[in-house]
Amino acid sequence: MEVRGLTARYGPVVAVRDVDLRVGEGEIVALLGANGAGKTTTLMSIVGLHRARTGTIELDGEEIGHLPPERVVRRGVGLAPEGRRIFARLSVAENLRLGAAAAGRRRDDGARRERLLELFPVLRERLRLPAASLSGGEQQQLAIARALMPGPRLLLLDEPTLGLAPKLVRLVFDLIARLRDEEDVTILLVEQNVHQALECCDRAYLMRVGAVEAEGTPEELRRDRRVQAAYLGVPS
Amino acid sequence: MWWPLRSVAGATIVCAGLVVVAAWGWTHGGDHTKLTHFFINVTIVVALQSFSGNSGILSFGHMALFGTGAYVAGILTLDPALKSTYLTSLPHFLQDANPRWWIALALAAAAGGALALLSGVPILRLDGASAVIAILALLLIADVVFGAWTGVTRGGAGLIGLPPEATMTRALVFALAAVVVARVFKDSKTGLLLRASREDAFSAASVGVAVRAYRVRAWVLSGVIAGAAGALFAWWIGTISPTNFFLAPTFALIVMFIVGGKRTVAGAVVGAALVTLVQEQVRGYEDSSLDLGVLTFHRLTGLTQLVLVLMILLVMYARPEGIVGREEPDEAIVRFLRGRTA
Amino acid sequence: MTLHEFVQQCINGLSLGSTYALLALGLAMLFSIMGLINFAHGELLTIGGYVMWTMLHHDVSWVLVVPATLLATTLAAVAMERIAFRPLRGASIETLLVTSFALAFFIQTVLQIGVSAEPEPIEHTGWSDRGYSIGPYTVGLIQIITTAVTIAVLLALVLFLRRTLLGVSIRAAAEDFAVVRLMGIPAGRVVVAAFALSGLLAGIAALLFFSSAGSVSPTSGTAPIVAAFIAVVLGGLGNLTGAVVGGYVLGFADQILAAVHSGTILQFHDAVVLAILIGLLLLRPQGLVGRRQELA
Repeated sequence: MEVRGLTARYGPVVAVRDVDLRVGEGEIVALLGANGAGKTTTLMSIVGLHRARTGTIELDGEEIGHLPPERVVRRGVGLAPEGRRIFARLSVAENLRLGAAAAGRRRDDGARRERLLELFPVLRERLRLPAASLSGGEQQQLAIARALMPGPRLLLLDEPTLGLAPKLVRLVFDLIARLRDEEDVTILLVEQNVHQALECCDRAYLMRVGAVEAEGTPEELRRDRRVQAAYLGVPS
Repeated sequence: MWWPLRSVAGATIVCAGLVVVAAWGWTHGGDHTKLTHFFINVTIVVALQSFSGNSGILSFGHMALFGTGAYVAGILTLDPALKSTYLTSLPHFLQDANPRWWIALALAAAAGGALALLSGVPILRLDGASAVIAILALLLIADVVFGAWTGVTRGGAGLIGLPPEATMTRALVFALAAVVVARVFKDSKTGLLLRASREDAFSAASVGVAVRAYRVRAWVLSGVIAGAAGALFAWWIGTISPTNFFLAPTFALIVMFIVGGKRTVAGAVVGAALVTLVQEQVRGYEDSSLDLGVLTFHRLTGLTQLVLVLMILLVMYARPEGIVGREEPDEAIVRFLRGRTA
Repeated sequence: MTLHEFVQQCINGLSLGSTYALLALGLAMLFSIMGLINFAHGELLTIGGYVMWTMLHHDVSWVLVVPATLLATTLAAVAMERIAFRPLRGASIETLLVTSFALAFFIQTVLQIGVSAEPEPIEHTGWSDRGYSIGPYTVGLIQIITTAVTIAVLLALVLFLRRTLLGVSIRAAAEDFAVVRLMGIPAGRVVVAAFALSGLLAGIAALLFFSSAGSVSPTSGTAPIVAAFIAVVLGGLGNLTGAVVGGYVLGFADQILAAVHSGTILQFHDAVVLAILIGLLLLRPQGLVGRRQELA
């Protein structure tokens, strides 16, 4: 996927300013930055939920920027939104079923669901329960599983470790690595957890106040003084 | 400059417009009924604007306040002889009472304010959809009370033979007063803070704005003006019954409010002008029939309402800000002049 | 009032409660998804009534009247969405409210001009007067039929909302409309489905209501829709189960209060109910049935 010159606004406020991103097939790319840097807005713009924007967004060389979210998702992009945003009053199974709708198949694809339940065993136990009864970590897993149901080629993850205990954070990152290896999914990961994100990704971008400040491999970024000063606790 | 003076100065354009209209009426003599109707409409829609325009809460209940004022004025000024016959539940001192018109009007305004205070304190704790529904419920309650309390209001039969105390001059005076008061309120600290809270009740509340108290103030002010307007209406129309204060008049009032522009007092006046025009001119056609060859309509009942519907739908789709838009005319002029000299 | 009288009045209130419940359900559905308070919902009832009148007037058999009425109200609801509300997608709640208000008056006026402002009689179908004794109580045939129909409709609705993808989508949309779009489900489809459903429910309500009401006029929808609003609030704005419960509670309350206060003072009973309503909104904003939710 390629993003060029993305600029997004909320009314008069410019949240994302002329951003260029590239995500190659099979990569895990991290989008890092503090709160308010414009990371979520970028993801929302890519998937089509945020419409007040200009710039080009291409998937496999095809322009998708003009498409509504329903169509973007059907092209093979999945999003696990910030704050999880699962359907709390619906059951886990219903959440998954809705996720599968993007695949456009009429029948429930039982095999797909089985595969995901293997990846997220805790969901299997809770299938019939309302999603609201899941813990934070379980809800995050549900959000990711739901996004994976239609078999997307590009998965957007917005702060999947937000609010989770360290053990669960570990779990999520392991999962991300597994997804890339076993499921053949390309991943664009938005994270504030810079340390761990840099450990699992192939490349990363650093955003600040709406613009891309730095980009490169994890090693390059770790050496970058701006990253060090801001996030790695190294005094500048 | 002391801020109310600035607002008063700002309101002069609108006031001048009203005076010009009245002057036209004076010079042309004849029946001033339609112009009086206009000024009364100005008063009631300005009442609505001072609450809904500033707080952002659309009130479907202003006819409750308006009707209360109308009934109070009507009951007070009805011929005492008729009162004892028809309004049997009234205490004797009220049955015998026959106050001067301005006393009755003051009491009507006070009644409107009192009802507003009584209802506003509980209702305005609610937010969003709940507040709108609660205010609508107020309208429904008022309708039931007006209709069922026959000993006091004569119920569905209504109060008839009310004295014609609403001359055009008096109506003009109250319209001018309402415009000025509404404008001063809008620019006051309360008004400003309310308008800030309109955009975001939560952050306004966190900054320490006692949103509810300000809303109640606006609601009570609105009730006082509406009560006064109601008294004038009762005298203008001569006969009042519960249907004068229920859904159809509420709709006309909303049209006035929205079409002119809900953010400004000037907008309210413009809206009142348009709607009064429609009400007075189109009504004459309602009894006629229309033959389109293919279809024949025998009576065009409700044509006025149809025109109002089309007006408001047009504004909703094409210019939701209303005809006047976001700025009062004087504000626009000041901005223009500043741009020139900068 | 004795227990016997109370129960009897509740039984008498079943048909009224069913009508309110069906209307309230349609309203609640639209509100839960779009935050829309559809003032024009009552006009769907009226349209149903006029279709019934037109067909019965021409001696059309009931077998045709029923589906025709349902079709008419469903189509009317979909038309409402397409013509009046879709162009306003994303507009403020205020705008939607005012538009729905205007729409209500528009339909009323069109009926006034197009048909007549006067009420038109609807054949008083003889069967609505019959009654049966069950134990110490009298149960009217109309009560039985309306309750049975309503229960059947509710069951069908529950099945639809639970089993079909569209139904689940509607429930999801009530929680988080944007994320439903992320599921690849076209937003428009969900909204249209919700409107169609509300129209269908209004049509069923119309059939039940006008079978015993006796006449239809352009303003027929006003009183029932007011009651439906009250029911929706009683049940908690947007809560579907609550709307149904609220509808029945209100039906019973109306019946009981009317029976008890058939004297002079309390035609006020409507006002009492409304005042209770405001009190309820204050004390329990989530209604009788709902759970406390954060303001969205």
